[in-house]
Amino acid sequence: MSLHHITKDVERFRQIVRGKIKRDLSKYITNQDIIGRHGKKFVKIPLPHIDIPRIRYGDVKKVGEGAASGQGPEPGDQPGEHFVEVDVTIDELARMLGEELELPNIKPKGKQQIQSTVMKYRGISVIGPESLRHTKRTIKEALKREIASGEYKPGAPFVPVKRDKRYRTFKTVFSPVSNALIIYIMDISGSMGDHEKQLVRTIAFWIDTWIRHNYKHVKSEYIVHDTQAYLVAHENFYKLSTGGGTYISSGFDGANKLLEKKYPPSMWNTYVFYFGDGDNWGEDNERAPKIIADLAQVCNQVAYAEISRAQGSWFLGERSFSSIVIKPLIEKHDNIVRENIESLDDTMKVIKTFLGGGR
Amino acid sequence: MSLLSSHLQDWQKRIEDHALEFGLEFSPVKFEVLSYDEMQEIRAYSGFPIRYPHWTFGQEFFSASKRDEWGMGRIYELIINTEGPVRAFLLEGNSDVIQKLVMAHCYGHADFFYKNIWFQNTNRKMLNTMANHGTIVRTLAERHGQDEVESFLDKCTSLDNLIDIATLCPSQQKLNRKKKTVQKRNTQKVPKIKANHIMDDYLNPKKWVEAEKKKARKRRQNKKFPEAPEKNVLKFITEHASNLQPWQRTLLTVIHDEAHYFLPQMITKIVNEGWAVFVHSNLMTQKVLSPSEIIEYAQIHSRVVAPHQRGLNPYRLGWLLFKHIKDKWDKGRFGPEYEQCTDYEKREKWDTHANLGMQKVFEVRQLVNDQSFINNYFDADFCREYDFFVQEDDKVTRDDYDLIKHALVMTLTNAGRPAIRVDDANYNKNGELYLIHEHIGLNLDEEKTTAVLKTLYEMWGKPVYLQSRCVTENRDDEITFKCDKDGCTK
Repeated sequence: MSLHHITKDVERFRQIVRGKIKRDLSKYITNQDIIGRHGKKFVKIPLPHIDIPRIRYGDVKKVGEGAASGQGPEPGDQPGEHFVEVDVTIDELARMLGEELELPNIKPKGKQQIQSTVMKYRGISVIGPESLRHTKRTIKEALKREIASGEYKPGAPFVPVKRDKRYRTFKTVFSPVSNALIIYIMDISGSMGDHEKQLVRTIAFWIDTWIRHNYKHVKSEYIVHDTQAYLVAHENFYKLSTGGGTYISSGFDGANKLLEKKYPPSMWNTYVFYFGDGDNWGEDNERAPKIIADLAQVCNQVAYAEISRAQGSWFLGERSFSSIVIKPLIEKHDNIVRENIESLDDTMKVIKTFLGGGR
Repeated sequence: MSLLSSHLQDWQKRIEDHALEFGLEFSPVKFEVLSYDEMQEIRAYSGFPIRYPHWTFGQEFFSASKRDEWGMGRIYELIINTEGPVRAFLLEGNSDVIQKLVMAHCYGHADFFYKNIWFQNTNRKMLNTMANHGTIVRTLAERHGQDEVESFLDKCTSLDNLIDIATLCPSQQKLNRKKKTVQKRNTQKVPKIKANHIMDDYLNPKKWVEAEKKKARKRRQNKKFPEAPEKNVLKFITEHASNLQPWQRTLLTVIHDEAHYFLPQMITKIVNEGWAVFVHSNLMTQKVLSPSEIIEYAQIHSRVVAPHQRGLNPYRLGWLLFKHIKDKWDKGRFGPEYEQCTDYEKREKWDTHANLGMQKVFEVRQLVNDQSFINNYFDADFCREYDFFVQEDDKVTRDDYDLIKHALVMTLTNAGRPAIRVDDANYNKNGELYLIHEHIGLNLDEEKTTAVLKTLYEMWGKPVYLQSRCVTENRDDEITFKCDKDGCTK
């Protein structure tokens, strides 16, 4: 009896499943259970049993025994409609996303002087832990000693003493690596509620995942603002809310200052993503263009996302920040992009615009 | 995969002896021990070491291992209906008690395969056949392309329930053969008088012969094709559809033969499992168990026959029904006198000491399939005793014996599949295909049905129709599906 013929069939099944996931990708990306997991970890995606259609009854009349289950025959009771969970890594999903949206791989802008330290075990030392002992060199030293002292007898075993022992050590080596910095800026004034934050969170998750897929070394910074900017930790990014007014430029200004202080443009590929609802104090619209333009000069890309509360008419309307400030800027700078978000369904669209530039 | 240890071999011999004493009849059974992975693979292949390559087996393997991960449906036994020998599999690492229970249980199955009439004509050399099928499919895939063969197999599989149960029954087979010879005679051409060549022109004048030939031709044209409705739609399509390549007909035949092979098992699930449980519980409790093993046995046995959360557990239903039959026939609770007795107390105390129970259950296991099992033996006493109910959407009905039994029998009719037959393959005198669904009270799933009709249209080459009904609370309408180059409509 031979075994493991089934592995071929299982492989083929997995292939088909992946095809299905790709086709329905937008559904899976907005699944809130996934958001927040990390790269190599597996997520469970419920997939309907892939059905070969047959002529069968549509009605269901179930006969049971003893205590009733209390519910009607669920959709899951129909033959061939139960769900199976498939394990997929976030990385795989990111890759599928990239293929599906045809996201070009990011070309880092020649900022490869970033040195990252790597440990290479090329050295020899006389001290160290036993797990790193260099057997060959130790024996060589023992041999040298015995010959020198005349103790050496060919064919007899020789025993290394303490001063013979040699151990491997590491040398720190600098190797050039591509680095990316992602700055997330969010408006946390009164108008941004839980629903809006959920949208931001979902999109931010995939942006993060995709950029990490492209860069070895990624750092994220989080700035929230109302009339002022505050640099916060990731955990607090979605939790904070203030009640005050809004100066959108303050958010971008905060980013500028952060870069000046910690992330020289010569060393970092920087990506800025702004999320807000476009509701700005009038006078701030004067300040904003220069601040954003300055930022765009030193970044790979600046992306502006406006979450609209009404049916998108606000975004395209004459009075939104997007139209007044961003649109003219886009005409002058080719690395500024903007998008409108109405609901989770827009996720794919936003990701394509924000990450489709290959920057 | 390994053979039985000598310890288990001993036990197999003893259990086999007990089985023979009990009155079972079977072909020799060979047990093998499988690891968990091997068992999963074999199970996905329905008990055979290898099948033709297809992703559905991959899916079955995958879902089954997921189910097991969550602790559901751990299997103990697997046995296939083959001969020379009957092959059965045990799971490595199971305790002695479990292995003995499984062996006893498998002898019940082996007896069922051997004695039940619905299995009389199955292909017992199926191991070879399955291997051949695998080779055929692989060869065709090489020749015509893996994707082509796979997607065509998908289509064939969607037709695999359109076969005829009656072809399993031996008496029916004889009838079919008779039908065929009668049909042949009617298509004979000209009723010439036998003559040698000198007399031929005189006895069978040319003009008359020509006229007769014309008449015969017309008869053939106007004759309905098929003459009698054909219930084996799959076979019909294989033989008569015009839009098929030879290699496609071969694949259809592969699917048909495998579906035909598994059909008896599909229509006897309750009886077969019930019988095997009846056998193992008798053999274990009467002969095999040592006192120290009783508790473990009881735990496992109760798990096997536990009621399911949703739907019915065939092991439980079959076993309880066999016990019920034995009890009734032991106490003489059958026949017109008992049936007509309406005195509740009298019925409760009825016991003629007839002791025909064992004889009766042996007879039953030989003659019935699930539908007749329920139809003949699922009586009001049984229904009441175990508190059966019918559930439709949110409505639960108990205490209505007729309703419950009717629902149960209906779900078992024709293996739970809609009965479709070919009524006219020359519909509209244009070679279009007209099918009829025999409605027994349940409506068709329209989405799936149209998908399959589309496949049939592709294979048939001309428009395909399916006549059915749509029955709701207030209405009963005849509906006809039509599938042609413009798509499927109703």
